[in-house]
Amino acid sequence: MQMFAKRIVVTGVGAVTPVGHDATSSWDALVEGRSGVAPISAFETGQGRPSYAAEVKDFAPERAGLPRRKLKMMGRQAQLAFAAAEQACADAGLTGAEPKLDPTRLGIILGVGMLNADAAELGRTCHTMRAALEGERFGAAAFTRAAATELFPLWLLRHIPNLAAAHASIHLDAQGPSNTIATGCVAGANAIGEAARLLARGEADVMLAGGTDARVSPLGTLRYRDLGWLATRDDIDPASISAPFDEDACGFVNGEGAGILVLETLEHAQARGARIYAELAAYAAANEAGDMLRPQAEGRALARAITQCAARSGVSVADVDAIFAPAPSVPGYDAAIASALRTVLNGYTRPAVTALRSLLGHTHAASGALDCVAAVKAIETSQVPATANLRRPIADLPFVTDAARRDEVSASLVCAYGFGGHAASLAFRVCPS
Amino acid sequence: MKRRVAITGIGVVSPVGIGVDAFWEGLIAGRSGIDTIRRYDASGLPVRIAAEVRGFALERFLGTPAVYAGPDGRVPLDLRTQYALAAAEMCVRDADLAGSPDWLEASLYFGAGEGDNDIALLSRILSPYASAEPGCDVAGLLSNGRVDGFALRDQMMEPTAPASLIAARHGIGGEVTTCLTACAASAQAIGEAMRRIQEGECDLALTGGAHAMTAPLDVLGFAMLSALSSRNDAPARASRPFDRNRDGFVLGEGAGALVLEEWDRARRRGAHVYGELVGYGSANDAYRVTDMHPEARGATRAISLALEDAGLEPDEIGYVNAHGTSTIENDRAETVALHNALGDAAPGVPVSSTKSMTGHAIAAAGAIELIASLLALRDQVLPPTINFDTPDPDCDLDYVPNRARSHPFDVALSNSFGFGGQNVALAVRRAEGCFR
Repeated sequence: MQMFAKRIVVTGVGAVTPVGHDATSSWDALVEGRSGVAPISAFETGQGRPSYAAEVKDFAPERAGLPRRKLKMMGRQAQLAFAAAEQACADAGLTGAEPKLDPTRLGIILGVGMLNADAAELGRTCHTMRAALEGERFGAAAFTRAAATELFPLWLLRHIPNLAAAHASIHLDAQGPSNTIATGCVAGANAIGEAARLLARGEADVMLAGGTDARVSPLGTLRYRDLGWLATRDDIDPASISAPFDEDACGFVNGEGAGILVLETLEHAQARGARIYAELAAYAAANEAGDMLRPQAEGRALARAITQCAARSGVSVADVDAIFAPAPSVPGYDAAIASALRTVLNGYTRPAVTALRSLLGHTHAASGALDCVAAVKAIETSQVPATANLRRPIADLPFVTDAARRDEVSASLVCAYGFGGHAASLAFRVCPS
Repeated sequence: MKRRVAITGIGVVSPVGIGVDAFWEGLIAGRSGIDTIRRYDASGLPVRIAAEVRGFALERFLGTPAVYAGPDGRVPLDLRTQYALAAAEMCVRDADLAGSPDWLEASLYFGAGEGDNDIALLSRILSPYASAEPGCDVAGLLSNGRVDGFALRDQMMEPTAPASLIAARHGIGGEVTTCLTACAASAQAIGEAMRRIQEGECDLALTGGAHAMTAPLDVLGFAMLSALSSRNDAPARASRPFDRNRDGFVLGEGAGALVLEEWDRARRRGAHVYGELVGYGSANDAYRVTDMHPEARGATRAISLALEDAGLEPDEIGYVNAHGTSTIENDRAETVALHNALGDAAPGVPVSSTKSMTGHAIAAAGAIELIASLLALRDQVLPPTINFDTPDPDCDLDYVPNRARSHPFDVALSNSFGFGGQNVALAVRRAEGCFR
């Protein structure tokens, strides 16, 4: 039972992550177990908590081919996406390829997150707000009057979510379908699934799809801390804090990054002689239809998405070699995800279960896409990275711990799950020639 | 053979009217929903007009106050989410599917943006940490313990909040997705929901969009981009799509929601059908982030793809509900796109912009305008483009100026274009007789 009316393959990958500026170096770091968690550098935390995050360090957007004049009107999430898209295209052999692709058959779908002001922007806003205080009272009129002169004239453009995809579309001359999805932490996975569907129904030949997120910002940090989701410890080594599926998990580490796949129909990839990493065999998504902020304890929607995805892919869960799990190191979510995996694995021990958030932190809308990049790299390199910091597992599942597993991976499964009740699953497998 | 898609329920919250009847009466009467901003003191803004929804109370629709109450606390819902919940409630009841167990297998695809910033709240939180020079003492902010009232409010501004709350209320357990492709978002959401049914992913879907970009920072941001009309002294005359003296759009707000059903399912249960959703086209300009392509290449292709998808010839289009924002650029480019895509048929097709009355509801616009198109099909009456006084040589189509018009027709096209070069077109066909 095949889900897609056409066969869909992955021919390029791009990633900018807390552990590397491209997909290959990021993957090597994950396999070696190098953590991206470190003291926050984007702003001063002083004695504040939390003081750690998984940031993309030393990211120089100019090196990704971004014109300086454009940088000012691009938020960081757009810059990260641009770099990842550029990489993915180069990796797929699309950059400068002859004959050029039909631009109307090239599209892009990105998953994005909330766009918070960066420290500099917040500083200007803050200053303006102080100026607008009339005694204890906040004067909206005075604030807007001051803001009109204080803010960068094009500031709104940095906050329009679909402009991340737009900047990439303009650069790549992608005139085909374009979409921007915001389903919280599942957005990147949804974007890739939707792009595959779109290819299958013949609306494009090649799609760039993935996710981007950059909310290691003052207010993003404050928000997650006060919701009780962030790890706030700073009495241990930063690399030890993110501990998905562990009894000692104490919250997620805020992360940032972008991951993008080049997807195309098998027919199109073969016709242009592209290297094929893997086949995207199936996709499914579901919703809990419950409270937005608390996971349903058994993770039923996630179990439903995985079961449906596996059935559509034609690969039994028992035969999957690697499962990339979305456990963020938040106890309630980890437990719900473990419960869903217990349900679908039903005692099978072959699939190696791993949680990359132990090394990458929680990259929100990018997380599902980065898991997809990893699922593809696992098939390419026959390795599955270990879940770091997993000493006392909360469930009896076939976790990869301590060191990466080196064994052939012919099928890998990505699960995505997050607030808002969203769940999704994607199945990749070696492309049978 | 593609499965057919029926539209069996509609709901709308708009500055012109709350609820389908009030909305439609307002449009047909040519009533503007645009006025001086009253929700807050806008005197410091360069633009002080907007289309605000007035007299709205979510409690009237849900029977509960406009508050999110969960295990983690209670917080007032932002306007965008309130409008979304009300419109969804209306369309589910209209389709006679309230409480139906079928929602468990259904999909939801919504177009939305982020909720509005509560700047008074932010000021209360941030002002103590402002330094004399532009800057914020973030270390101080993060050192002083939990900040009252912030986190939950901020979390509920997430783009997914309206859809997730609708899913929870109606028990929608299939795919729940939110797209935010600026001014094309809800049209795109409707098109994608249609595909879900066509592909057999589900037999029932809820779709539409909601947005409320009328808060101080929204108005300021668009004003700074020089996108807004500055007719502060004549609000009801400010939105004048296709008129030669247009000078920008007017921000609006609201929500539109629709129930889509697989055709045979709708027929079996004897549902009322507003129309058949027959065509969807989506294409990107890949030109500039704010300006449309001068030859409207993306918009042209979106319209052509929608026609092709529906198997329609240009001369079968009986009415176009234009994107028609009232900016110099959009209205000119949209006219070019209609000429390009409809060819010789273009001059004979009436085109109107209901944004002349509703203002621009951004992510909600496409859904609200598809609903206007469905009502036009139902009553065979076209809503006018109001404030059309002076023709523009660059805009040479029939814009249904100033008065509603009786017009027998079978197919309507609804255009939605947005920042980021997003272009979407939807086509709906009059249902041949209702099923009940």
